[in-house]
Amino acid sequence: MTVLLKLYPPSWRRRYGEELGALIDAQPVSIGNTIDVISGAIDAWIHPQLIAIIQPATTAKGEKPMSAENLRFRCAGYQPHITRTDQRKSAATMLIATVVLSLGWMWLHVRTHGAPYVDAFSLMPFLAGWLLSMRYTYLKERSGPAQAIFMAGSIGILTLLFGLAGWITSRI
Amino acid sequence: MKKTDIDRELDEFGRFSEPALLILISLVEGPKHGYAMTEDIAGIADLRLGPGTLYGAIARLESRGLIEPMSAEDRRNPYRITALGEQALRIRLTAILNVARIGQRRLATA
Repeated sequence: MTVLLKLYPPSWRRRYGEELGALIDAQPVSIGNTIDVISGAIDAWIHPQLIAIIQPATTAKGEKPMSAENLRFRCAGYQPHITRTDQRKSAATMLIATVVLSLGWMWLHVRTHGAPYVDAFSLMPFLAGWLLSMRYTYLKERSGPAQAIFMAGSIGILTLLFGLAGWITSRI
Repeated sequence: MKKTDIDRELDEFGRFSEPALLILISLVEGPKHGYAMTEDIAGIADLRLGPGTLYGAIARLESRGLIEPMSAEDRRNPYRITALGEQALRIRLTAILNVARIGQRRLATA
């Protein structure tokens, strides 16, 4: 039944794979346990932030090394505390921004009679909405300037890429 | 009854809040690895947690700093309850006890 561990996200397997495998091996194979492990894998994919923290190796005395503690806060393991209210705000921001920007894009599309540059930006409303919603999730607890730089930078890069796609399309 | 932030954190575990509470109760006795927790919980609550449920709750408790891993023993990794975990457990058990008292009082007068 340990083959079911492959259903878990790689980062989750790195952190808990060995011990979960040991627990599965120690228990009898049953339909109930199989369903439980599969639903656990689905949950792990839905909640990646649970294992986002870098888990430092503990020493014999159970003390965490300082470098590992620093990495916990400085590296990719940054994990904001996202509440249900944050999730609702994030979903609302994404939905509203996507609808408003889509309406703007549709208006431009009609006005320009489907110009290649405008068409190239058709995915932008969804991506921009997603980036803006990060304020309440991945970017929560980051400083205002850091949030602004991340979101504006990402939107800037996307604008360049979509602009390039529009330029190529207009040349064909 | 006003809920504290710590108590609310356990509520946010959703379907994992009951397994998380049982894990905290199990660990308050002393550090245990996954299998030992499953056996202990089966003994105290007559409930056998599946591996996926157990580790879903462990990941949530660990991410909130309510439990922490110790040095690994071969493939198994024991966990212990933290001071914050003890505080969360104390608050939750007091809340449950209060609700139980009110329920019993109402049953007695019904």
